[in-house]
Amino acid sequence: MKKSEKKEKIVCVDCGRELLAEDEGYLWGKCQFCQKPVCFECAHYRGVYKKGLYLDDYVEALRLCKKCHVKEK
Amino acid sequence: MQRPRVMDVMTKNVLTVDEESSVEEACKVMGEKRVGSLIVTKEGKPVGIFTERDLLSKIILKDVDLKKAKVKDYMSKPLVTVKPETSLREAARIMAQLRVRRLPVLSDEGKLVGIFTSSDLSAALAKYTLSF
Repeated sequence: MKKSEKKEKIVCVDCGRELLAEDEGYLWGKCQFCQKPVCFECAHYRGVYKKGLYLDDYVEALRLCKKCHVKEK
Repeated sequence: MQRPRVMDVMTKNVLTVDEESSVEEACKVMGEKRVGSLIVTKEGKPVGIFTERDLLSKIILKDVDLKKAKVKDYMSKPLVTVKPETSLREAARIMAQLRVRRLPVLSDEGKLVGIFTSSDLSAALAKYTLSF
């Protein structure tokens, strides 16, 4: 008996639009806090301080969904 | 459909200036090389960025002596960075939301490999289809 493969729909956690897996990184990405998919139209970006081997303090932009962005505030 | 990333369009030859350099020296380099910013380094490590805006708002407006002023006292810091594989769309959103026009590009190891500016974005818009 073949197991049916269910492809889960990927939707933006903020606006609900359907997202395609192959568009990850181009039109949408995962919220770096909760790991839920968020389209780049809805994504918020927050800078976080980091230290590196080749750089002292620098800021990396974190992609966040609306909920995580508000929570961070 | 073309899907350019930051690494496809960034400026790889990043111009730098030591933090102990005078603002006058930095302005000379910016003028000769026709750039709007310089990455500021301390012992070879990037620590900030000196831009036209820094020159206008912190130096010219305040009537600071260009010869005596050191770049380290007027640069913008810390650097707001992106990774080379970031899409242009996302890089543009980051610039808009974090209110910067230049994004130094760091490799996974944290090395400075380029700089992505609003000029690079404009050039990419002209070169690639708008569907990126």
